[in-house]
Amino acid sequence: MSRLSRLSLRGFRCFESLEYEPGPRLSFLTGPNARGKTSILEAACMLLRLRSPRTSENREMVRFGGEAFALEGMFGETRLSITCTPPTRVLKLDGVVQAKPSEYLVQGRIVWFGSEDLLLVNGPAERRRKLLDSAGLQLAGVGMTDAISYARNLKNYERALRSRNLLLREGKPRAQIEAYDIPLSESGDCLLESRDALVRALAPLASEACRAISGESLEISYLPGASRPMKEALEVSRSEEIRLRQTRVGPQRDDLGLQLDGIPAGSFASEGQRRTIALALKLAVAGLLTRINGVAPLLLLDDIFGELDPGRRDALLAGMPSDAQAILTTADLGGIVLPSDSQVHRFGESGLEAA
Amino acid sequence: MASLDYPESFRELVKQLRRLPGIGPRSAERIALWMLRSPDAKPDQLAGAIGRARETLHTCRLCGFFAEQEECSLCRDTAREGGELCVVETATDILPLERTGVFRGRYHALGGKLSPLDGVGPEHLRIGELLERLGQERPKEVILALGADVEGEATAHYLAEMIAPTGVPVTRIAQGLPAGGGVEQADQVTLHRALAHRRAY
Ligand SMILES: [Zn+2]
Repeated sequence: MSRLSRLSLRGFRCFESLEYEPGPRLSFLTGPNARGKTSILEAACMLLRLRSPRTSENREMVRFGGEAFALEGMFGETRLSITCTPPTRVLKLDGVVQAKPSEYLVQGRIVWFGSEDLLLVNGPAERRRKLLDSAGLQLAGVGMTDAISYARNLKNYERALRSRNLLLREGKPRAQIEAYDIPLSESGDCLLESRDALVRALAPLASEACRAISGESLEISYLPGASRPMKEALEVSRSEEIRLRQTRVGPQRDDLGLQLDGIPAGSFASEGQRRTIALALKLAVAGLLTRINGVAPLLLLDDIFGELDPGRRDALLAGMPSDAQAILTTADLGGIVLPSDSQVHRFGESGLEAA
Repeated sequence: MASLDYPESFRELVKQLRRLPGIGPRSAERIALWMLRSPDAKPDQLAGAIGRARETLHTCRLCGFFAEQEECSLCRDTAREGGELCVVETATDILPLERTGVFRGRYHALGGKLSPLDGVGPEHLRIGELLERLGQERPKEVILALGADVEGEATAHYLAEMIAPTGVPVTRIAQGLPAGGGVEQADQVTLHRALAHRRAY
């Protein structure tokens, strides 16, 4: 099974140079805030997925005063490396430069959790669509549910939608606008179909994860932004879209319904409940990736405990997927009883030390 | 200390070569050296050929293909009269289709595809010319051979809509599984299309 066994950072965020060796199971990074615990998680995410959950600007990850950062790590038997001198980057697998990221990106998958994910529960629907995309874009395999199809559909849909909305906004003739109906509904129907299937697969996993953490009952449901076939939904929305000069139906209006003990969670959930739900959703994505890909994704869990009460903390740790590797940050471990195969590093005066 | 460099006339040649597509600084220098030094190089012939091509080559008035007269050889070929008319995005799409030997009609290059995000609307393409040709030439069928990307799709649908009132039947080249490809390897959109455009045996 592929694990991240070594991670080295150069000129990344606050680090001039840092070597870190996570363990095969749960690895904790503890210590005061602002020492760079989250940046280590970010580096792992960047190394495996070539993107950061904190920024879309690679420049922001370059250490102050520097011009480039370099990340390297061993993932399974493969040495991954990325050297980034914004706006250019060089990717290598076992020292061999990769012209395209496709081969590189099939190496490792991740599931990220950060405090901002609490907004999955009560924030804008876009966050919940991104959650579904994070699953869709990391599915291995071929045919109806693979990451390559999903990525292509997402890209084509977005391009068709932007074109169509521009024509609507500029009040162009209907023939020009309707020329986009087929390409839009073609990729739209595929996305609606894929997300529907994803939510069906995620629902039982999310319920199970939530019950394990807090004993509460979580139900998730897909709220599609258009009925299928989307071509017909477009026809029905015609007068509205002309009036509002914008495409009114489609996956851009998808949402994920969240019910906790039978009540919509967005309006009432406490901080602890929001954290529980958000974690349950992320663990569900991890579970699905594990099942489809046959390999558990690396879990990168930032400030995982937050305000969770001790009972939920213990339950959360007990509920971690047994075959997954996870790197977790927390200010301090308090009285938490860690599983025996855990590893703890602490940021002290002289940097990162094994505890 | 002033750095040593090639003389001005050589630098100018390298500069002009670098403007060619796909030529970087190193290749430009290598080509320039070869041009001036190699006994095989015939720089005068090259310069002459470029000049003559520029002078004699036109865009065919009808189809948009390369021509040395007002109309290209394909459009002057009377054997192709009254057959099918194949619409392509650019003039360079014509030869690959022609080389299949399957199609014996005429062509019409649009000069691009609709792309609102890049500021390309119907008024920037040779759509008016196409409709005019349909009225004059009355082909028995219009075949749309456009790309399968978002813009190619939108352009095909727009053209089908515009051609409908002329009464000329419109078809589109088939889309589906690539030759030699299995169903298992096909992506979602390709399978959707292949199923939607299936045909009777
Ligand atoms: Zn011609």
